[in-house]
Amino acid sequence: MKTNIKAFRRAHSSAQIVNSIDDLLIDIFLRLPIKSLVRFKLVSKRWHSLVTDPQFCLMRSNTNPNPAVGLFLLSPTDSISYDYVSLSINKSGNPPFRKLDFDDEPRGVRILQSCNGLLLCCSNSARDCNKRYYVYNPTTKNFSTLPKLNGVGGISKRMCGMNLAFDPAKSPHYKVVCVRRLRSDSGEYRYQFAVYSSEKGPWRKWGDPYTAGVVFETGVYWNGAIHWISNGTTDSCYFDLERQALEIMPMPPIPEEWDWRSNSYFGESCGHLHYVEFFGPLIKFDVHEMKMDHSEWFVKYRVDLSRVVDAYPEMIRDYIDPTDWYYYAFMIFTLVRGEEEEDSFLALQIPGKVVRYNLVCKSFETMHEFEFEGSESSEGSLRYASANGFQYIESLCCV
Amino acid sequence: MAAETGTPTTLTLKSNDDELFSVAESAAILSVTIRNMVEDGCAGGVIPLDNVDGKTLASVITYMNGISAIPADEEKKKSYRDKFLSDKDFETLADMVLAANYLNMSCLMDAVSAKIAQVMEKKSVGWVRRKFGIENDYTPEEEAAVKEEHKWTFEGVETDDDN
Repeated sequence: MKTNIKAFRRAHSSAQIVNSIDDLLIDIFLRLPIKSLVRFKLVSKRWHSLVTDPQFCLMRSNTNPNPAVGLFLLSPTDSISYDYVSLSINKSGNPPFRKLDFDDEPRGVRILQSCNGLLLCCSNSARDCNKRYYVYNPTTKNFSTLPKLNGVGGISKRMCGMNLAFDPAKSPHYKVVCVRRLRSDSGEYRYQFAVYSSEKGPWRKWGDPYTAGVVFETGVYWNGAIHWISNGTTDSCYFDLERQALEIMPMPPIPEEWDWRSNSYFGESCGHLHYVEFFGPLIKFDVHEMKMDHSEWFVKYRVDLSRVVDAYPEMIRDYIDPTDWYYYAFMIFTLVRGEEEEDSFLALQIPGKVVRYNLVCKSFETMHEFEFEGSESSEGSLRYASANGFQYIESLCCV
Repeated sequence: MAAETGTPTTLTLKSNDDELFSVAESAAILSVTIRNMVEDGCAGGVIPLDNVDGKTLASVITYMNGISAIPADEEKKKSYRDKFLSDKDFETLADMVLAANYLNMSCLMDAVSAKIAQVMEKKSVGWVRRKFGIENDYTPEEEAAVKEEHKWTFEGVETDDDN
């Protein structure tokens, strides 16, 4: 036996032996950044299959916190390609893609939602029934097309929202929740939920129709549920995927002098749900975070942008009245919780650039300057009219 | 036993190329493999370690002595591990992974795997193939397709130095 081991060791280098033992290679792989791992798929077919193994992806998700490294922004010039803004300070940010080029999509494809490394996308065709929906991993460039939703029982339904639910720390599989509105004679809107599971397959109708008063278009997945915020005249709610139930989400009170709430930022980062609302032209505001049991929001960060406004006077639209809602020109692109608490920051769009505002040390710096083309001007105007920045989170997960 | 006599027990370890090493039992039992042998009472004479050569075993014993001399201070232990591995070349790191795996020393295993990952991070695919002795089993067409698909991951790769 001993001679055999010796003979084997003589014939192979230690590195060759390490390479022959899956467990040892995986121990090394778990410590490599995603970019290196994806590159090393090219080493050999065996490495390719180790890196793409769902079990490995799951293990990696559980051992590494995974904050967003970039943002996709729908280009204001052509409304079909995406601009990319890197969120990491020291790393050069090469866009993983400019356009979502899927086969047979002449009008292109747009992003609906970003969820823990996967993007929910849909084709830009005009009619609901011709739309195709995709789940796309921009890191690995893999996508899958969701099966078509068929009408049930001849009831007319209007598509109100598609929402992706994916948590790689819990499961390598994702779910998509579709919300459709039923025609109603009473004038009250009722919504039918259907769920597709990448594990169990086809669309399934879930429960009886619900009555609700939110816009189901922009849901945020967090903590096993998809959340929607109302404008304050009706209840905000969340759909718990485990319990298959639509629940009311408590919201911070609306100040007396206001009749409705303005959702200025609603998003998830590294397992935390955040919400920001403004009442009037304010540069001091609170970032709320939801408690894990969904019982209430608490103030996580107090933000004061006075020093940011001093440093970037272009944030003031001095041609309009200071009491006007639009007096300050800025928008929250996204909020990222860092691997360490003191790395948490806001990415703010101001005229011409993106500013990174650290939520803990209150420091700030220019993170990105937009390149303007031709006739575009940056004065007092925000390049991106919609706050919808989609987080780019690197992921090896299969779709 | 050490506790009874008051003198530290010393173990004798034998590498697969027949080198003998003396090491304090308290340091050697960082290896779960050796600890089990001691607990089973097989540590009376010489402990043969058929999977580790003399050069690697000497290095592992240096690590065992060094780390067990540090009191329970995770930060100091970490900086010792970093320093211990800082001048090791790739082949030596590969020797150490195999030794740490065979000797069942999880703290050394974790540190060496992390070090290898750090060395590999910015290396080219060619470098990795050469160092691990891996044959490219893609056809040129397949290789081009995989490369095209993940173009962005080939930016920022170091030029091969093969050290």
